[in-house]
Amino acid sequence: MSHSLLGHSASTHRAGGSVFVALVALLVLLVVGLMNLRNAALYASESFHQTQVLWVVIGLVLAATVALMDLRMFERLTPVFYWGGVILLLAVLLVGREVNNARRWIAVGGIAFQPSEFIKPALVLMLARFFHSERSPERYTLRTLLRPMGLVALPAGLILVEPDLGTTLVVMAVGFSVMFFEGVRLRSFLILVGTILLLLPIAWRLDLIQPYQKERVRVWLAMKTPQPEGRKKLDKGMQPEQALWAVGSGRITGKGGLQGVQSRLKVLPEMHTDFILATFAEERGFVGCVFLFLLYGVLFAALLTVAVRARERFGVLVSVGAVAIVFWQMVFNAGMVLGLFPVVGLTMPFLSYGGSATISSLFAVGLALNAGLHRGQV
Amino acid sequence: MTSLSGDRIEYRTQVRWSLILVVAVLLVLTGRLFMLQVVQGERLETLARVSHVVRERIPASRGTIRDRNGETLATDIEVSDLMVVPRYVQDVRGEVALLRDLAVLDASQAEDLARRIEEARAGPQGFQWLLARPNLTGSLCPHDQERMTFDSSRGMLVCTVCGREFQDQRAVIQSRLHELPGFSLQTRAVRHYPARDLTAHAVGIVNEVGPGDIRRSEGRLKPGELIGRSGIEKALDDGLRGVPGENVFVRGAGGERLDPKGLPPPFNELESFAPRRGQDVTLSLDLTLQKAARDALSRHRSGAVVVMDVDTGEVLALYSHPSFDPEPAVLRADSSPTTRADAVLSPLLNKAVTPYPPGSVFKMVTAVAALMEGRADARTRIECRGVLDYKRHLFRCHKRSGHGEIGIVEAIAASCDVFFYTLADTLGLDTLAHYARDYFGIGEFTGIEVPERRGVVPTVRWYGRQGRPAYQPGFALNASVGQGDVRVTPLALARAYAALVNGGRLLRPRLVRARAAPATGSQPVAAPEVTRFLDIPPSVVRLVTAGLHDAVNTEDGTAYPARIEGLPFAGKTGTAQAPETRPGADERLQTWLKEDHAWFVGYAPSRRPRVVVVAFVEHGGFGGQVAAPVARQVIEAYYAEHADEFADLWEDFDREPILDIVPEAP
Repeated sequence: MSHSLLGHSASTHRAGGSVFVALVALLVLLVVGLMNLRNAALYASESFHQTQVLWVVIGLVLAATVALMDLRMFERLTPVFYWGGVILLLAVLLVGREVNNARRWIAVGGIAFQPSEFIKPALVLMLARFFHSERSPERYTLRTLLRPMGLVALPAGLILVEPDLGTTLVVMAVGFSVMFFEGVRLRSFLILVGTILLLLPIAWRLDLIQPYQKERVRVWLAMKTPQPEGRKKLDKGMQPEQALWAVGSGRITGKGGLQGVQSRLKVLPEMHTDFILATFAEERGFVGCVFLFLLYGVLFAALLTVAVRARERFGVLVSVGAVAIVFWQMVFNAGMVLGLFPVVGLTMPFLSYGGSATISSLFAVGLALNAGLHRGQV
Repeated sequence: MTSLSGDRIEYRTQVRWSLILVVAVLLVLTGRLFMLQVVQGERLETLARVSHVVRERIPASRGTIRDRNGETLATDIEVSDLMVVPRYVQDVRGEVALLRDLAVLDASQAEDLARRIEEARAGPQGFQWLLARPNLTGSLCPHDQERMTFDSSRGMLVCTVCGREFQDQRAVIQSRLHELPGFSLQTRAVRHYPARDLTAHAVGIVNEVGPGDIRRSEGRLKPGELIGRSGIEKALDDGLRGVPGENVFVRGAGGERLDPKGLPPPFNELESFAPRRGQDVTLSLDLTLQKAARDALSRHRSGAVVVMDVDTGEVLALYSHPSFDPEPAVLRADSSPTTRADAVLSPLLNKAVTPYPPGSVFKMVTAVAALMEGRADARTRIECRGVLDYKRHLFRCHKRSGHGEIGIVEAIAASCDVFFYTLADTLGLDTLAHYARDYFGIGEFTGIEVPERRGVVPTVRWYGRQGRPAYQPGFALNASVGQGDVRVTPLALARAYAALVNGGRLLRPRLVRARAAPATGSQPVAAPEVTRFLDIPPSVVRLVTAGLHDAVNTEDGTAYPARIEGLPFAGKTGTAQAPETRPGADERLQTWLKEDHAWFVGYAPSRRPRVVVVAFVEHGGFGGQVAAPVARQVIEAYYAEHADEFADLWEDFDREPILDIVPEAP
């Protein structure tokens, strides 16, 4: 599809190269993810990897469509997307399906999806539109950033109430990424970060953070300082701890396909969704994981390179924001599985099983590619 | 579009920093991965082999209860049951036939088992344990339930008592288990009571814990474990039960057992520990005296006997009749349900610690009260004409013709009611109650280890409370002869009489003589516990004990027919009116319920007493004719058991003046 774009000029050529690299990295990632998911499904004697193929195909078609669409149409529809997304987030709180004490899913015409997945690209478009239309000649200060911060805070707050801490964090990280990319005064940035760090304990005290979320943080802290005196600690800390054991037992070269002990025993929680990386790490070891991270790194770098080829601010920011969606999701998930963060409940892009997550990640890639493909059309 | 190239330059910095950020974050993740997979990989891989921690409870065996001579009263016995999982049986007919050939089952049992297995295999319970044969011969002789030892030369179990030989079924099955797929042996602890009904009330029983016990125990009790329900088994449950051990190991990912010691922390800090056996308890009871009490009471429908050491408060006998068999069904020779005495006779009730109207045995208290209050002394004479007209109410003496003019010693011996009515009138109800309760502890809990009830000593205030008859002056007269609303337990009377003759020490009666020290296993004998000292002057004690001696040992005494020549005992008879009705009693028992309670409370020997004996025969009739012979039989058993210690007493007993028998109060 990028064929016609190749060979026009030096810069076009470079952009086309990046698009090609990004596509190759993405396709390899998808293949690796599907193979890994097949093993995870076999451990559980299930066949959801076949369903996942369908989601990937749908996602790729959607990504291609988005990549080739006219970005101006997106710009016009941005407020519709954003406010529609916010309304959906409100709706999910009222009529959403409750699963495990959280309302994250909403059913429209028999198809259930998570509005929080949809709001991420919508927010990116909204922020890009804001910075495109109300461009400040100076670096942005806290006061001038008040409106975009509100645009981030609104969906972030609604998602936090669901509750879905992981997606809240991603939404905030994506919002800050776009703002930071556009340029924020260092002092303002520091004040912002300081405020958030101050707000965290207050949120903890005011019970804005759910008890089970607090428990996860405690478990995570307990993992850092192993004091095994109590049976309680052994039992409660088991889930994330066993993910660590699975990762660690992969050693350097991995146990090989279908040889994962932890995975085979199905003791890993959320083995095929949030903790899919543990299965991969156990089977493929350090070497496999480095290769995987390399693929992600190449994808992000290529997409960022494509992003700045856009002739125009809106396109650049949309692309960067789209990359940020996938990037932060990947970082938070890996950090969670590797025990660097508490368990927040996020999927791994292109590896985890799930329709909403897969389609939304591929949609984001399509969005990121769009700007580079449609140079100067806005 | 003029700003186009400017834009590009502007974003170039941002892209560079973004790329640096991406690389930096991915490097941090890779570094973490390196730590986990390369540096700590080996340790984590070991941990990954762990599936879960298993904690197996190892039951502690319950402490043994023995009598003062070391006879076993209650002990744990391991019983082996043959169990079967019906669906795992390969050849029902063949395997059952093998069990019959091995003489584990007889023909009808084999038939029955085969049918039960077939039925279970067809139904949904095919994978659940089925009891094929309970209590395989192994620990106890099937003939007399005595212990058996294994004679290895003949390969047979031999009973230590009857000498009969039995095949060791447990061993036989064990050796052929490979031919019996689906079958297995399971052992469990069963409480064995060799003394059967003899000590049932004192020792008590255990049974399996219920859901309520488990909840209340806060984790100390688990289903299937035993808990004391009555008697010493209940009172000393915590000590007897012991502490279960725990076998902790780690179950590997493939289901294998891993030694925690070979695993990294935290698993290597898991520790197993052995169960701690429950404390052994030695009771003060003497099985010989329990037997004597049972034999003596066996002629009567219902009653109780208490024998207590006057100096230490140790209870040598505590028997309630009729008794029950505490032995669990699996250990009984015929495995039949217990044949229990008629419920109207309350076989489960411990009558030795249940209050009844005492009748004339209470006169000891009235006598002490009158002597100490100065209402009577050695010279007091009162004329008994067989009836006392008190404020137009006639109070009759049991001897209608009257005792004539008598003093306090004869009045106690002959149990003259009029004499004590007259004293009671001058004392009043509350003074009498003061001596009964504050001196002799009647109406108080005695403090014995097993559950007890307490008696009643009415006062004027007592009658003032709601739901009770209004007080009338004549009530003191009734109380003085142990009638009216006075209620006393046999055990409380034993304690009161002991205090009279042991120098004024009101003792706490004790069933527990010694408890094994947890570490050494040694059993220090507990020191006597004095509830309080009674300041009864020796002159008072001498007059009362003279009366008690004469009651048994003079012709006019109410218990004269029951006397023992040569080494006399002393005591007071009692005949208490207590007509009642009970639901479920047939006509014969209704007649019985109208009879008087027969009492005898005494001590033996009459000089330097060693034991106090209470014989209570519920609705037995006249105390002197019914209860005194029961006491005599028990006292004879005591004398026989301690014959050598009494040798010199037998010699010169009669030559010493009877009033000097009691040592001076300290």
